[in-house]
Amino acid sequence: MRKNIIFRFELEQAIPTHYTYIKMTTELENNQIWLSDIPKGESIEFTSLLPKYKRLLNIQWTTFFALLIIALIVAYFNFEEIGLVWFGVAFTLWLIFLLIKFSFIQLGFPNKGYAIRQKDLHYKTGYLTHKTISVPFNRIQHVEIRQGFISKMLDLAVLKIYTAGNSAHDLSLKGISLETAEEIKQIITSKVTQDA
Amino acid sequence: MLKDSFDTPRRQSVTGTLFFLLMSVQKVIRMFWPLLLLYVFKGNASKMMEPKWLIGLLFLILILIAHSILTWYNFYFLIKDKEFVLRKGYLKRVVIAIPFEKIVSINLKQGLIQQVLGVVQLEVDSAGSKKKEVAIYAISREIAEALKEQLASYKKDSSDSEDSLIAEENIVEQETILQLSLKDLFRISIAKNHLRGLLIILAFGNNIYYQLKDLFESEVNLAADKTESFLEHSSTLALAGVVIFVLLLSLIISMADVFLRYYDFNMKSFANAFSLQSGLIKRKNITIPFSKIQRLKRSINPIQKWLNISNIQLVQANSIEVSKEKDKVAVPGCDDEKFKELCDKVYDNPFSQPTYDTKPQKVFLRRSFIFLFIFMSVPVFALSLKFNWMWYLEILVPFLAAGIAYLSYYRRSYHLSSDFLKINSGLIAKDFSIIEVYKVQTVHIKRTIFQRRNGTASLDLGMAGSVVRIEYLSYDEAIRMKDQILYKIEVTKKKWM
Repeated sequence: MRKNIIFRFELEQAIPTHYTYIKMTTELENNQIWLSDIPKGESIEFTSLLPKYKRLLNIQWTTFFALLIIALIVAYFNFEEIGLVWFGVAFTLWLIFLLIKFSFIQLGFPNKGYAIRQKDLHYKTGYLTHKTISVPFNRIQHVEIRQGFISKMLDLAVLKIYTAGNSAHDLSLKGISLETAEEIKQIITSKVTQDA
Repeated sequence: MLKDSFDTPRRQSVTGTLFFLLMSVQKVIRMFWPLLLLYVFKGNASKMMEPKWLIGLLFLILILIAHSILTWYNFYFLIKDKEFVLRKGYLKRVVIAIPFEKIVSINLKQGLIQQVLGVVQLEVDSAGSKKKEVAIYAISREIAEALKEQLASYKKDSSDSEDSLIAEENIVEQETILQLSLKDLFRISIAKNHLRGLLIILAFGNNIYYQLKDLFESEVNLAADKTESFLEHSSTLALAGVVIFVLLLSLIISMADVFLRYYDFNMKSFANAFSLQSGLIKRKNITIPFSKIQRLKRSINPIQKWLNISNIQLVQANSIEVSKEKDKVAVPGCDDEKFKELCDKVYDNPFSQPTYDTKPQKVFLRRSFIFLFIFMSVPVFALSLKFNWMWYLEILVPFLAAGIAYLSYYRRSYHLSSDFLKINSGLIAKDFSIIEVYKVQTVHIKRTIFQRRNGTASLDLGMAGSVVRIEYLSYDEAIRMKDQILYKIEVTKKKWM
């Protein structure tokens, strides 16, 4: 450990960046890759999702909130015990959640996008928390195309990409047309078989 | 045989509809059984006979029948372009395609219903999939066998090499790495986390308490009252006695646990695999090829440090072939030397490469302090509404939170070399993890709204069987680390399992 620290110190003096760790200490001819030589994540250009997807999200959440308010009203008129005050509180909460959800959908939408490079696939999403998921093609186990009832009408599809990693960390590429999904799937399968 | 070609989409046997029907009936019953029980026990069973309920029931049955027929009708499987393809769903269309190389194992199964219907279930396990996802539920045995054969034929080359690999091991001389004597077992059980034992006591105690309470309601209440008054009026000495008793009990439980599990523990290494044997009553025998190890974890708590032992965990690739329990293989009671030996066996020179060392940003300290402060204050406030003296505990909270936050900040460091990533973490115990970079499956980079403001980011590395979190790096650093890791994955040709 101590040796490394000394080594880093030397390099830092020589080159004014501290991302120089990948070189070997003694054998510089050992072909290690410098971080500056490898493809950069920052330069990826993301393709935005189809605007139709926003419509789908709006439809889905409108149904959800509509069902919620119907349940609320039915409950209010059917049970004597629920006073007007509690109904008011519930209604305000409903309204707040609705506003937050829909503003997040609108505001977060421009931040969603996907990108395909030669060897990996990226998907970014999230409004409060920005997330970027990267999956190299040679770690993909299998792919799945899903189409719900409404998305079928809107010609949208979800491309689910499974890796051997934790299933919570799998990638779902949403908001693309069925055609694009098939296309990407084709790319992935060809890459996967190529590698194997 | 032309009959057994799977190039065109095929449906399952017609009896499959019956299977789906029975499954959905089972599901419905499972969903509504509390309701049913309520009706039966409240004596409202006669109400069920009313026309409106009967019509509802009829409707439900019709829906279930329609559902099972549609499910069967829309369920296809075929082999196309070296892929096993499933198409299913009528409301939600799902297409699953698994390339042959990704298939880990193919299992034929027959549940009770399937036995009655004379069909079998074929499950394809592909390391990434959930268990039930890729399965054909009802096909005749001949078709299943034929399909299995076809799927397996493509897989053969890889499985052959694995078989020969294990056969090779037997030729190469074995080397015993670790054997635990009774003394070792005793040391291990002393250093164990007794909290677990305590929890077991609590869980059992609670369980027994409630069961007794159900049986003799009044007697138990009386006893409980008595103990309560005893606790209130007894001296501190008696209380100390209770504490010591509980501690002793948890020690005994830990000891029993350790002896049952690790009695006559024996770890051997072959050319490219470990073999472990242990257990008092049930002998467990596990073989792990080095290549399947995804992560090597070591943890040392203060008592273990004092006794110079540590706990090592080998996290395996999480495929269904290996059951959940076996995924994490524990190697207890390793000292420093044994640990080094183990690492050198599994990995190729893990400690000699120069590393890039980094730590979470200072913001992490502040964040965890605030989080812990709030997290611990809530129960204190809640309890202080009931017990006035709890208020004084609130004075301790900031110090405790600061201590924990500092420890977790101090312990956490990340070391990336060209092939390995080493992570130090832990609070009271010192945890150390080592992974091979190319075995990472997915890379996530996350920035909350706060992190964007202070220029930090967190990395989640999805591994087979676990997730490695690298928190609060500076954004630049995180991006560079991500690029480096992705690059490493993409250029490495070695199989990750």
